[in-house]
Amino acid sequence: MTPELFRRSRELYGAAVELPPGERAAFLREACGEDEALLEEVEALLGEPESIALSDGVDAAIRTLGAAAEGTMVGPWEVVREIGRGGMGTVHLARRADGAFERDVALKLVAAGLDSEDFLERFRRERQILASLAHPNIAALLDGGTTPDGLPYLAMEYVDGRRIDSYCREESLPVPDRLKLFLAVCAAVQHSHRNLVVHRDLKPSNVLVTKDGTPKLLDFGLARLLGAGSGAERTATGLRALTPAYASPEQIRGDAVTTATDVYSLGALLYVLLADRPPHPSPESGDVSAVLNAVLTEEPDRPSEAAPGARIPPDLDAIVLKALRKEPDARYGSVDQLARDVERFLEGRPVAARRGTAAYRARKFARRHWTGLAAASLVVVSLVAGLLVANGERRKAERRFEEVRRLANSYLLEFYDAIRDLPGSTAARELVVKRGLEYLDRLSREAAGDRALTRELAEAYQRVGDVQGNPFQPNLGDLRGAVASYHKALALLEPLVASPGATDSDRALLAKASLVGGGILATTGASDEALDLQRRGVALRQALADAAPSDRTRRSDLAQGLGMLGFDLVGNGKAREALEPLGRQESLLRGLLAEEPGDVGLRRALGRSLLVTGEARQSLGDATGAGRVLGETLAIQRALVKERPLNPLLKQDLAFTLGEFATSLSESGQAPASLAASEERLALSRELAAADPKDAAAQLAVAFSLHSVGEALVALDRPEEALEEYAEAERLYDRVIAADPADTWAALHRAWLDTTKGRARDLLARRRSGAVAAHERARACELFGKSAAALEDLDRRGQLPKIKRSYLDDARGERDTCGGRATPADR
Amino acid sequence: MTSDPPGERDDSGEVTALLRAWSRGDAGASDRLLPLVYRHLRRLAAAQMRRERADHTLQPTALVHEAYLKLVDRHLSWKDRGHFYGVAARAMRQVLVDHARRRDAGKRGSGRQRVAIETADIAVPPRAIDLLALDRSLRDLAQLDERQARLVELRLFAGLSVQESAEVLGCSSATASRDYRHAEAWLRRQMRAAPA
Repeated sequence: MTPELFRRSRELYGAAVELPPGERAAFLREACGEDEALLEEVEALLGEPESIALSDGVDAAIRTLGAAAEGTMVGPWEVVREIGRGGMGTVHLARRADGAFERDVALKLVAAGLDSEDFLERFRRERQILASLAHPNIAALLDGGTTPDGLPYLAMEYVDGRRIDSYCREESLPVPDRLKLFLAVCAAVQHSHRNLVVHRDLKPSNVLVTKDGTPKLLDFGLARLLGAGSGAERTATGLRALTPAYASPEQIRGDAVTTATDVYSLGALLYVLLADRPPHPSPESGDVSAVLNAVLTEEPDRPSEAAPGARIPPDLDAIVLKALRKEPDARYGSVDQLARDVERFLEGRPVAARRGTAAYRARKFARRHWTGLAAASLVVVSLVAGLLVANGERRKAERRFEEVRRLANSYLLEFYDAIRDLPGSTAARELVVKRGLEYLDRLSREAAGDRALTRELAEAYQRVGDVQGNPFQPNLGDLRGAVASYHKALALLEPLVASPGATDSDRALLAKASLVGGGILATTGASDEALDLQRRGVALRQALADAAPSDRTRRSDLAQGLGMLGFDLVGNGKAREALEPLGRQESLLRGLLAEEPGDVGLRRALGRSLLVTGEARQSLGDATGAGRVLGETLAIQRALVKERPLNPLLKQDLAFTLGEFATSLSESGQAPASLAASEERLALSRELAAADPKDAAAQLAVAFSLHSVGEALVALDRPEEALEEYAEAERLYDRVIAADPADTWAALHRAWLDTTKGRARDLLARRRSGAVAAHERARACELFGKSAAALEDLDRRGQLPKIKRSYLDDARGERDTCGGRATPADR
Repeated sequence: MTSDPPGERDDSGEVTALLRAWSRGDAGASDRLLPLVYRHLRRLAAAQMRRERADHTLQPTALVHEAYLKLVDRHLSWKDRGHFYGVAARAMRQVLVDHARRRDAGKRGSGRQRVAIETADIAVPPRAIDLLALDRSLRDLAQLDERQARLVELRLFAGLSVQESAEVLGCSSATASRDYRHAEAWLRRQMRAAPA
């Protein structure tokens, strides 16, 4: 390179690097003109990742230099040389310096700079675990201590040996000898299991064979005491540190790790010893996610197929494969059982592994319908693999953009779509949300000025927000988190739409974020901000629809927006104002349905629209009008549930309508019909909640249903039965509120529940006499007081929606008149 | 506290004298200064790595500062002190490169238990760069722009801020900041393009 080219490229780099990534290419083309060499040079420099500062790289290099210094004193040990290095620190060959005795040790040190609590904890745990183990096939802990600056070290028996797989290969060991070696490893693992220690990281590089042929198990750095450690620790450490080819499916999924995990890894180890390759070898590309995927979903080749020349007998195939089963309980029940089967093979007796094959197949077949977990795991795996890519060195700025796109459109979307109608997936979703948010926050700090990237980020935040707490779909019940995610999306989109280059798709995005975000906000009680957001969203969609009258999608989007606004207006005590947008929504939907009569989405939307209209009319005192629209809603929704029985959203719709219908019936004095509607609703809610016990919205729906069944029972003068329903409702409310204290909707109904309980007690009191009656009445009064106080408290905090003000009025009324109803005997 | 290593007192006077001579325009002074400072930093580094400091880690910034306190007369002008930091950064770079070389040489002989701890771990915190490759790339950079290479030296090996480096080099801090950013990208590419 000429100094001239160097100077010019430095100058252009300095200018270009200040520009947003999207504008650099045009700037450079103009500035460089015909000078291809210059253009190439500057582009190459711009493509260099800026993620890690050079100074941090130098610091890290210096830390490893320091840790490796020979002659360093650690306790009584003098470092001879470095012999290994891992994610946690370094291992050195060291010698006793005070001449007390002559012995080489492997000295394990935490690298300076890696002394985070997490690492120190792992280190302390390893020390504690090793101290509890003493076995000829486990490298012994000789000394442990703390360096003067507080970093822990371990002095271990120094094993001068070869990896077990290399040893078998290089010594051309016959199969029986390999099996005996393997049995010695099993004995070491059994010993640790008996001491309640799971190794969790068994692999060929952790088993060394000494010159005299003794295998030694090393590195308990990932080991864990059974029953200790939190779930969070499990996934975090597990995912970060495991070795994909030898990790069990449950480790990859982040599920509970038990002794069955070591059984699996021993199976993988035996596989290597027999076939000379791991059960799920890495592809040429070194793609980690491919291995993780294979471990989760693919059956390994039989060892005899993997190494046809080795003449591995079918019994050994069966033993290895039984240890490698995906489901922990389909494997050998213990390392002991695995070892015994290997011994049986060595003695020429029939092995247990071949007996259970048919039952295993049957069980497998039965489980095959259980695709939910598999689908969820796959997405977690690809997401994690994606993040790993992100953590590595990024060559080009565009890569980042590509990653957001993938996160937003592939990981979250595919994941979401794969499980949105599948029950039982909440735990997997929580993990994706957590990881997704960490990643998005990091990226949005770098997005400034890049329109496309900003859009993608905003969309990704919305998806995360939906999964966290969009009350209109199965969610994790984290309302605060959802609101925060939506605020982030809005903060990204507002400046985009305000800028001169704003496009229709920018406006559509902002409209959607405003409407959905407003809807979520409304649930938290922030009604003014919520309604303003939604009005703005409707206005944006109206303008978009007006600009393209023949566009069906824009019309249906507008209808949806009107419905959301109407819904939250009704919810916030503005029923009269709601009738206008709801009427517009209804006629838009009927128009669209006339063009496409069978459309499930449109029918569903019309059902909901009518439902909200019914609710509005109800609260305006128009019971007849309400009954009419609710009747039509029920007809539409029952037909949909019948057509699509597996879709929980359609059931939710119907359940909700039944609730409204029951209220309407009870208010017009038709108690038996109201009870029937409530019971139908309760049955539906229970089906939905049983499908996904962690779905907060589903739990809440059961509680609401129980609550209204109880109220209908009280109206029919059956207070004992009502109190049973209330007791179950109370447990559910309390559970939901404990999971998310910001859920004011649940808190509100919980507070109101006490008034309804009080009414049931009061009813009981009227039927009894004397002390029993007095007791019941006193309990009723107490409940009214508690209920009114809780509702007043919510009201003070602005968390009592106008439409539910009647709860407070009723509770106060009951409280204030309760004393008067008391019999003189109470006083 | 242990006593100062032998010879230190003499060095101190000589370093100050050489810095003054340099300021007066004595071109040979800087050449004589470098081995002196190098020798001193090396001694400090060795002491730090052994037992006087507990963390067994070289801390270039601290070492350079310590050398400064011990070797340089407090009454020197800022310009002379700037010269000192320039020399110390160069010397520190050399100390680190020597260490890295020795470490690599020591590793070759030990094939055995190395495998015990495989770096199979998926994510390892901050990626250490290859000090020897950085040294070579810095030499390439110096061929193209001596001052830019010295800027990097001052930042990385003497721990000076952009502002301080700019003062030592006699340029604006805006220029220093721009040049440093460019040098980071350039060096990174260079290190990858020309592996050992």
